[in-house]
Amino acid sequence: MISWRKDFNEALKEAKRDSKLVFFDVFNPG
Amino acid sequence: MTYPETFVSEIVNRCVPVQIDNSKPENESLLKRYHHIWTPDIRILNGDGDVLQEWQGYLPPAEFAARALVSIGQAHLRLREFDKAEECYVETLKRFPAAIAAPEAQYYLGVTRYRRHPEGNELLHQWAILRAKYPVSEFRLKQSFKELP
Repeated sequence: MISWRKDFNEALKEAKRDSKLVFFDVFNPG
Repeated sequence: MTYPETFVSEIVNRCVPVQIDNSKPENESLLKRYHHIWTPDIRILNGDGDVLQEWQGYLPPAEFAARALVSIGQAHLRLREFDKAEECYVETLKRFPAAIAAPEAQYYLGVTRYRRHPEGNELLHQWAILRAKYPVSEFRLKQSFKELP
């Protein structure tokens, strides 16, 4: 199961803090 | 469906995964910032939000996993994190040798080793393997200047 973060800016902060990359997915619910 | 597969989610979770819905008005500024046009729209970003690698469109699970691994490898390579990039390419070639992204992994495995140790022979060695294993691929063409007489 993927632990999707819902807040984009928080995801960037987390990546910076943990020296990780961000996996950014834009989807359409339809 | 691609994401429910455990081998896919394990690779995605190596990064910080964030997902946004392109139908929600509150996401409009983010969609404009990244010039979004089609889904699925995947970007590998650094912590500043810079795009290091991207792809769009559906892929079945094994192809998605290979594409994700190679793209994460590309992101590490652009950041000059050669060991991490190499790990991604080697893993792709070991686990998904028949994937569409595999020739790209073989090509950039050579590039990564060359950038780390320019005095070595790994670029030409890996590209020779590429010619043997993936003779019909875009990445064979990208090294074909080395085949000229």
